[in-house]
Amino acid sequence: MSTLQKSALYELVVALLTIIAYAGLALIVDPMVATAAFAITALIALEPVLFRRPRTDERERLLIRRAGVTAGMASYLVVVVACMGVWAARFRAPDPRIDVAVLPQIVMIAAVTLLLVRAVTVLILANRSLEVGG
Amino acid sequence: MTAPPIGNRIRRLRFEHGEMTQQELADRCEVTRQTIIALEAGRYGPSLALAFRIARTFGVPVEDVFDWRGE
Repeated sequence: MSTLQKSALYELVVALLTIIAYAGLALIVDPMVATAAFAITALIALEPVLFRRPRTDERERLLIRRAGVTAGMASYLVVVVACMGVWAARFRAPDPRIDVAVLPQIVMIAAVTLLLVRAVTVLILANRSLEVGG
Repeated sequence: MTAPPIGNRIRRLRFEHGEMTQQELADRCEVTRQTIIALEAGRYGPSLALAFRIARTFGVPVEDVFDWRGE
């Protein structure tokens, strides 16, 4: 397993831990309190220290670029769907106001989606056929 | 994702050059060993620059290392 794959696996574990902690806290305590679970994503900051990549070659750069594009698309989709979902849910409510605390949650869910999709894409593409410009 | 239509003789050339390891070739071409593995397995179509670096490492023309297997 290459350093790139190990670091993708680490990102995947951090993203899954965050999702599990958020879902658990949201069920037990309160969705707003559960926002604290997103602090787990700070573990990503340790990635350059834990997985030092002495060299990034053209194939790895291609992998990272494609994974970044896929993750960006997924994250953007999550933001749009979440914003529209909240709006749709509140639109016909007797008091159609949206709590400002919803926004950081949407942003953090999008960030975790970015992490998760990027990690999964790197792990999948690492074992697939690739072609420069393909 | 389909495999790139580029065949190569990297594995044979490595053995013809003193049983060079994948890591040695990777170091000489300034890529990772995983890239050499992917190239040998036909799972990666390299850039022109890398193709020339590999050919130069073996001291042969690039067409002796890579061949087009498309239509």
